[in-house]
Amino acid sequence: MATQVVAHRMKIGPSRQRLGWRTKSKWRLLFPALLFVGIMTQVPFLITLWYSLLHWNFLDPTRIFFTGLQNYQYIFEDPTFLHAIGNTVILTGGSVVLAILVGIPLALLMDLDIVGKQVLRLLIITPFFVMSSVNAVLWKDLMFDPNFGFVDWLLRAVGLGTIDFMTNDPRRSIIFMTVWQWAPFMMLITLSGLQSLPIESLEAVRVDGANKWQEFVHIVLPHLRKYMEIELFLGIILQIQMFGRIYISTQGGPGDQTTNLAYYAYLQGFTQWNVGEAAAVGILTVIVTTIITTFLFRLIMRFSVE
Amino acid sequence: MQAQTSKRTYGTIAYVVTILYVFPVLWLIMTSLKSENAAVSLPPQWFFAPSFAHYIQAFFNVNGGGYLHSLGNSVTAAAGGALLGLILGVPAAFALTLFPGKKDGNVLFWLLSTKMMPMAGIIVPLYVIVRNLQLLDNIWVITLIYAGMSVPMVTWMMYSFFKEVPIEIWEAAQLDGLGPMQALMRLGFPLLRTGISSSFLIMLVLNWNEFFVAVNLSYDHAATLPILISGYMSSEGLFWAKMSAAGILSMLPILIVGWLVHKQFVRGMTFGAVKS
Repeated sequence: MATQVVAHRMKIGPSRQRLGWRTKSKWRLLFPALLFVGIMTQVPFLITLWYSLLHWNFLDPTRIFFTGLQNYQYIFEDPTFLHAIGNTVILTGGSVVLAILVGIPLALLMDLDIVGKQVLRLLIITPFFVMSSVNAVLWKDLMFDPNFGFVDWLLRAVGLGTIDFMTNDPRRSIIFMTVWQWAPFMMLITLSGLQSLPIESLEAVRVDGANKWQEFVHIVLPHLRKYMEIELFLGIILQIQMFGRIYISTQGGPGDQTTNLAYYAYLQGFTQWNVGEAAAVGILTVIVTTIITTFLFRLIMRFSVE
Repeated sequence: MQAQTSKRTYGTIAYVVTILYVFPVLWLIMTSLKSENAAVSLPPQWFFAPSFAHYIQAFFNVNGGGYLHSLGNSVTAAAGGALLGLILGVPAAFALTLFPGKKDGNVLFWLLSTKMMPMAGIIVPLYVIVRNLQLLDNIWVITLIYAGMSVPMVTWMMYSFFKEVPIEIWEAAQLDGLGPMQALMRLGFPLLRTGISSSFLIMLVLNWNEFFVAVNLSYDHAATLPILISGYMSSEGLFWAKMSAAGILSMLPILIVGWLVHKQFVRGMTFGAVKS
């Protein structure tokens, strides 16, 4: 299972002898954190579960009653919900995989021993720290705007005509914006991998007369696998909740083409003011997210075990 | 000779790729320094007399004086959340390394799982509770929620730092008659100041950019910078130069922090699994 692999990678578990300090103090130190996290996350989750069984709309606050699974039934009949699952898979999977792939050549370039490499590194990680609302302004308007955007000017200049990316291809545009922001982060992890590569293993294949490409495929890539697994894991848990970028640049549209689960939950709760349904969407989002994360992780593990 | 040439070629490629990659950011900066007319004129004006007028305007008067107000909110929520995260997370990580037990893995994974759980799963009751307490649009509520999101991350990050401290140090502290909390205060904090400060800064960056909670629990009074920019985009969306200046002002503080900690960032975000 995923968690065990991570556990193994992160070397969790007893490794030290017990000190003379009484174990009671362990709980005194640990308990406040657990209590606080429990109150902030688990209690609301249980309340969500309860709300999801109620008929309750803020616009009609006098009529609150128990309806069982009716909210869930309504959501399953809503085609947008199924589209939202699909969109979540596409947006998350596309963004994460591409960001990892783009990160590899970037890391190879940043690993070069060249003048000013520290400055280059600072420059190339800059997009990662551009907050998602500014990222959306930048790409939706300054770059992709069909009339005044830089990219569209460029396309016209080389004779490709005007393309309204955000309207014609909203999903790929969102993925593109995400990859631009996250590839530098993936690059940093891959770079750590490259720098931890034992020099002896490279020297060994060089003696055997391997060229650069063979060196990369047979020595470097296998070494990087562990790092890419971590990238995939982190990428998925962070990107599956993608929201700000969608909220600002496409509002889930056109139609429901970029409505992912997080945005769907927002629509139900904060535009329809339907507490019951929004809660049910929240619960389903948690379930679907867990399934997707587990499924993707199994898939990766199958590749890894070989 | 040949190696020398190929090295120079790769070096050139690295420079060109980097410039192209950050070009959108450079373009954002250029746009912010132009007049509104020049900002939308194509072909692009590459040479122009830069003006800081939009920065001054954005700084003092975004949506009627919003920038400084939102900056205050962002600092409160991001730093307050990170600080509370440290106050609870550091002792937790300390306890897990001092007294290893069979259940520790479960505790750590439970913490991580709260991080993996979509906020959509808990936002509705949070909203209802906050609304009933009449605390909507209150920055301290958002700060508290950010703290809840920070504790698991801090615990994980600090766990990996604590594991590097030799056990002898704690044994010595114990021989000196110190209790665990005293040992943490007198020895732990000085020893782990790098780990603590990088955990703090990483949480600062993540909280600063948080959007989902902030947008659902604030209107204007508690609006953080990402929310301010998002509102600005719908009200002033036609004024690209002004919008770019406001955007740069909003991300600049955290960009500087990011540049400072980018090396520790990898270690922190991967919970110590990757060290650079």
